[in-house]
Amino acid sequence: MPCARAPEGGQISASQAAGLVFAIVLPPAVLYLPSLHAVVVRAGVDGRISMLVGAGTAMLLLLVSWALAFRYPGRTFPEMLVLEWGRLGQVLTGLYVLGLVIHGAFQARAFGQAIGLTLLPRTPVLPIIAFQLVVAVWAARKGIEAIARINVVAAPLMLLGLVTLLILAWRDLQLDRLPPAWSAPLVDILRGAAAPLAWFLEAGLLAHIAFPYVSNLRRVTWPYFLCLGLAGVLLSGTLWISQAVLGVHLARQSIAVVEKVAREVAPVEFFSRVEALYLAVWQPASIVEFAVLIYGAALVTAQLFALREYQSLVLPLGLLMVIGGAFLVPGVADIISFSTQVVPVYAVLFGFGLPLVFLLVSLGRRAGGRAAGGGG
Amino acid sequence: MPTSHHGEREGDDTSFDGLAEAYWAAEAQALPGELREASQALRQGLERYEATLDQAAESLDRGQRLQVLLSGTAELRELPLSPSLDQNVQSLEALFRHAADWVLRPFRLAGGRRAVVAYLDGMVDVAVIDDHLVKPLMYDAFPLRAGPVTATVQEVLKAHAIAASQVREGATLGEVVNGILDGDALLLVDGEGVGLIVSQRGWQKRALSEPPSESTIRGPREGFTETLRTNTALLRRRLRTPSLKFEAMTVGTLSRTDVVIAYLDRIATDALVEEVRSRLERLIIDSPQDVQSLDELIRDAPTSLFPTIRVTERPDAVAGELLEGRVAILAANTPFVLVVPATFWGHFQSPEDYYHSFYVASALRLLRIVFAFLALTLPATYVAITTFHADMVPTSLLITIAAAREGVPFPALLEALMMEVMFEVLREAGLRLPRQVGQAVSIVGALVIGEAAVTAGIVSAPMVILVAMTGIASFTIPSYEMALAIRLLRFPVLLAAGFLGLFGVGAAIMFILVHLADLRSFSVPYLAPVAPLRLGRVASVFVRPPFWAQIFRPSLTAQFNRQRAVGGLKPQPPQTPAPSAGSPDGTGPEGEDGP
Repeated sequence: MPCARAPEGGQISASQAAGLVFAIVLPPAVLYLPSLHAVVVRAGVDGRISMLVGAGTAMLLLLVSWALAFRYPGRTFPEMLVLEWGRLGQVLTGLYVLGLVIHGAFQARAFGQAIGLTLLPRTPVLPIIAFQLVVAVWAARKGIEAIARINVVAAPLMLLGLVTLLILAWRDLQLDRLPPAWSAPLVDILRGAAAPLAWFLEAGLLAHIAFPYVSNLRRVTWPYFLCLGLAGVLLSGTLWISQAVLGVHLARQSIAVVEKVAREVAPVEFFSRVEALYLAVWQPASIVEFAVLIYGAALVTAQLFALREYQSLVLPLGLLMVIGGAFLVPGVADIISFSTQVVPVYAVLFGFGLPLVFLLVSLGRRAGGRAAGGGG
Repeated sequence: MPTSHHGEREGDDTSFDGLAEAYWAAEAQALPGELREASQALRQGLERYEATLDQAAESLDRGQRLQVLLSGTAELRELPLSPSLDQNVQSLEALFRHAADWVLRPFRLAGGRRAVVAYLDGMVDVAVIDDHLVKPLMYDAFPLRAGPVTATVQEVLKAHAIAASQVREGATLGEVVNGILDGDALLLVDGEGVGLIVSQRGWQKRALSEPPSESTIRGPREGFTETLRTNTALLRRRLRTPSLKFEAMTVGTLSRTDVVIAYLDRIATDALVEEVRSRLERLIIDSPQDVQSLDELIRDAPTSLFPTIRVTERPDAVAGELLEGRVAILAANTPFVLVVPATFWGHFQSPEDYYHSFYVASALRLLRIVFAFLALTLPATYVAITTFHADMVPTSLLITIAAAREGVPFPALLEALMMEVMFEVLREAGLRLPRQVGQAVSIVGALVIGEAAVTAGIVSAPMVILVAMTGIASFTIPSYEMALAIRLLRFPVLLAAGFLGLFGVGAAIMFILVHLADLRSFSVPYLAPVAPLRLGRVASVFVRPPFWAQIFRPSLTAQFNRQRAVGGLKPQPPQTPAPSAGSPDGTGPEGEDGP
């Protein structure tokens, strides 16, 4: 089967590609990750260190995907698989698409659930997910260039909302609530880092899908890893401040601890409950994330089947994500268990394991290199 | 031959059939040998044209039919004038049959040769034609007899008899007919196969006045008019440089509307000028009604609500845009000018910004953007909060709102929709009615009906306040097209808020954002310089930089010759110390006059 060239003609800048890291990593991680059982129970108060360890490890592991993007410029990772491994590559690409659809469904459900819990308690989750994904589908149809432009507005909104919340929480901080760092054994801290690692490895998707369209790939390295590190620091800081505001025990028992902090912290006495505003501000970034996932799935499928354009696949794949979101993880408990038991498996597999094996094999075969690639 | 007004003539033929008949009739007359040959050529040309028409009628494919017709029309245009004055007159009369404004004035030159002057009444200055064209030819010492033997009649007439600065020759039927339609006068002399097109345009035109849609407090009071040449002169007065180019073309197979592409050479990119030129040249349309139709025909996103081309009637605004490397499109018969490319943020900038200090201008610019956002989301946010997120509202305010809504039979969404529609109706009615009555209707509608509706308990007072605030907010947007887009989009955002609260508002805004991110205006991203982000330019979206800091043109449009001013223009206090009292130059200390 011929390996299709990327049908997308758009180009994004290095800073736009790096900015997408925030949209990919932070929502809905910022809601769930700081309070994830896997983090805060295993690592206890040192969950914040686990968060940093997870982010740092992810940065190291993503070097593999990054190296592949440079070795095969102008090609998406699934394209490389098909190009070098033939039929096996096609099977793996099919699994890759499946992974993207499942992950998209999970993320849509997770954010939809958070919206349902805080903003629309009497509204069923399905219309919420559907509405989000409709916007994301529309954005995905416009291509990576338009998505990156939307993110120029969405990511700063998200960061501004989060940083504002953390600054406003300063008044309610009680540092005596925080036990000293390194009180948990190192093993527990490392085990607690597994879940954050999986969420951070999502950024590998950008290296796999978006890097081929970066106009100057050489400039992407530092902004990309810098944004990743900043996201790690923000998540760690969120957990730290949440524990200082709510106390370690209350923070541990919360499902979406940031939402609880937002409820506690009132910017002015006039407004009593502003957590809805924060979620509304974070919503654009989450839609960007879904758009990237749908776009990635559609693009890779189009390449797999050598289709001339990917746009016709966007709607069916978005629909699959809506259905998956409705039935795959039907409740909050399922979201928690899915994120701690399933996500790390495929995140590490597709974000690190497969790229590593591929890189080693291609190094062994002396395959790839600039001559093998396209534009880049 | 009498002066003819062919609106009085009877006849059912189409003009082309009439033209053919005129030729056949002329040929039937006894003609000298060379005239017969010329006539033969004309006849063959017309026969080819008729064959083309038949071919077009038989063709089923629409595109092919159009191509055939166009080639036929081009052929007709190329038909040469005949040396026989009678034949030319018959041709013209056939073409201008049933045209009440068609004037054909036969006379004899001072030397005795027959001639005619033809023009369209109302398009030319008749007094000037009489005094400077007909009279010298009829009565003054006619120099034909004294002219050099080698000179043609046309050359002698141009050099010695016609007192007009713009005279050109027309050798084909198409050229002379176009000249007449453009408002020129045609002079035909018997025995000459070339006519003289004398520019004596003189139609009624409006005086310069302040543009009603873009008035400013401190800016100039003149706007464009319906006369193209006046408009180009208004631009030329502001940019007195040979770099200012006006490329002329005609659009419209029937209207032949004059269109001018204006740009500054070596500041606007060649690619942009070429893009504008090609988009206009591809237009095959009978008559563009206004710049609005040109706008719709050449814009990048024809189905988008958002204006991707700026429309203005201020010469100072267009001059400013040209200086930034943009291209303006001027058309005859309209005071509005199109400027490309246009960005989303550019629609929140007003010419007024450049007539105030940069602090004031920046504050106003920021205010406009904030209020445009409010115009889009304010009623929706109110509906979302009161319907879905009442716990966000402070208790005291919530009680006030609840008290005001007590007895209102409609849900907040319906109430908001009713009020918004009512407001739009009042605004539209105010525009359509005569100015004095319109204002009265607006005021009566806003005050009386609003007050009555609240008293009757149909709507709540907070809703009336919100809708009024929204209306006022939409008036702050300088671009009328952008204001209309936001007014219209307010309704889907409102519906989304009514169904899904703040989440719905956010999703609806994302819909709009996705659309905006996908738009381009002549290759420039519509959201630039915010998305894609250009750090050097993004500040100018929200603030108006002081003039001494505007050193470079925007890179989005001007890609070379970007420097517009030297650095260091910021006024500084004098470097040398001020002379003290009793100094040799005799000036006293500050605040005192010298001796």
